[in-house]
Amino acid sequence: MPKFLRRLSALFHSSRMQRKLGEEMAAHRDMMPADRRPYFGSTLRFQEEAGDQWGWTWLDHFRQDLLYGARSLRRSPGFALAAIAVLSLGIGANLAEFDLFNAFLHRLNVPDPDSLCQFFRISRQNPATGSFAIPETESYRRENTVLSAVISETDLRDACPAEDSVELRCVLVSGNFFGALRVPLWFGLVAPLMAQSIPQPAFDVASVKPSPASGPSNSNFPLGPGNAYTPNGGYFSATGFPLITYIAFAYKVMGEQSLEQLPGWARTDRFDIQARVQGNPTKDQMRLMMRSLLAERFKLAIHDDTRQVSVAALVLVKASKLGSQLRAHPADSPCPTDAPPAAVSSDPRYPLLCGGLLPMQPSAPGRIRLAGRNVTIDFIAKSLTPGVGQGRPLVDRTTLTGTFDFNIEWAPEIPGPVKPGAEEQPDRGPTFEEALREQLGFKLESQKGPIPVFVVDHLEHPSEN
Amino acid sequence: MPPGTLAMLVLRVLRSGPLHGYAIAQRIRALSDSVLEAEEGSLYPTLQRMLLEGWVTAEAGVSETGRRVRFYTLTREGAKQLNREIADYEQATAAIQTILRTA
Repeated sequence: MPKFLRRLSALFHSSRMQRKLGEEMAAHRDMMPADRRPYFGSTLRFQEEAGDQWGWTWLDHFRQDLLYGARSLRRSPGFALAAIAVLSLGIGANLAEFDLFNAFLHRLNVPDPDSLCQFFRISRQNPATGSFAIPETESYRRENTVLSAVISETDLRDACPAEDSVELRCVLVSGNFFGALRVPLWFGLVAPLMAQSIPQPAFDVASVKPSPASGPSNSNFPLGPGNAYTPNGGYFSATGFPLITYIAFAYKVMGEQSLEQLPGWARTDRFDIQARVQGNPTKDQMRLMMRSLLAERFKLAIHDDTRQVSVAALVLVKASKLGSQLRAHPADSPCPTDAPPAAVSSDPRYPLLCGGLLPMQPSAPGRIRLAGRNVTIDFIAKSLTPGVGQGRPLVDRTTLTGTFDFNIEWAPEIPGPVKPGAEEQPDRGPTFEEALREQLGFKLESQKGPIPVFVVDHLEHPSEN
Repeated sequence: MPPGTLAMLVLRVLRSGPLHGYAIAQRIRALSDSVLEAEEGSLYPTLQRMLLEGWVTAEAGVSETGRRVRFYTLTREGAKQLNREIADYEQATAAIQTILRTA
């Protein structure tokens, strides 16, 4: 019999058990030699201790308290009723006060205020609440995949001096503040991305020219969202890319659906950009300089926001089992971020280049094969978003952490380029979902979720150099 | 008697067969040459806990002197618990002895 049932049984048979225990102890005492009986101890105390073992003492005490209360009520009903009335009034008044305070004084004038939560920093050294720096909040806003939106605000003391008796409270808020809270802006305009008001790094010299109508697209390092990068001594050179590619590079935009209100010409008009800066900037510094260039020459104004959309969630088919073409990135393998794209690592399934997405030679014509090394699942999901189709973003819901090496090949519904002379295979190959399942060990689930988006507020054709 | 050891001793004594409360107390006293003595009544709260945990079962019977008593029998779970308690006790004793010898 399980322990709980034995305990429950003791509750219903407590008086019988107490009686049996009393008889047992009495028998024990009788069997002891007369001179040793004082060494038995207090029968009453042992009976209480034995009862405690069964865990119902509190119930017995509660019953006794109730009986005591009932007896008191019967003995002096006037006093008892007065005490009950005072207690009831006190509790009721407190509840009413709390409700009134909550309803009128403490209510936030936004839809669904219960879904709001506030974050603040507490450290052992400084137990007082602390705030976050602007770049930190920007980073949290961009990386957030859990909350529907992350907004930030900061008090600007003495920023709005009042000459007369009216005191103004000035608060600096993030660009998505009004949109995320779903409250209208009463007056004024939302400024473009706040970071732009802070001096941004910029190229020393830059030239922007429309590309010839036809011609290859080339750049001196990968313009994708990954870390793959060949330092070029501060030289940026790209030819034949549409403007959207440069915007996506500057803001690490993953997929076209994450860029809203982009004029059609920005997808079709192609540009050559050559720029130079002193020193040896990192890829992310290059991105910031590209932002300055786009703001200056194309008058690009952009802000980020969050949208609740239906997403394709990437989850593991079997918990903690990876597919045959996906492995945790070995920490001890060499990991260059500037290797030639064609070079392969010691395992030929994966490229030598780390931190980026690379198209590889597929095993059959018409298929797409992509691979990457030392990348997060989040990166893989974002990179493979175009494979899902229907404009649905692919988001990481695997809970896998760390970095991975992967290699996936599938046959797109619209076949990829086939070399002249090569015949398309009768067996077209796995679909995207089949490839995900068989090669990476992932499956897709339809879910709703927040995705970060960039909204283009303004864009013009480029000014003269 | 060292605190916390009564349950282990009762389990050990019951390993040789079913016994009633008085017999358990006598067996512990006799086997320890009267070194281990406690208030004999304290055996009963301990036996109640063992019944609750399922380490022993109790069955009504009559003692050698004709008194109505309950005979306690070690269960399989009780035997496992005894092994665990002996292992813990030996580990603690060895550690204490090491300190006494070397410190």
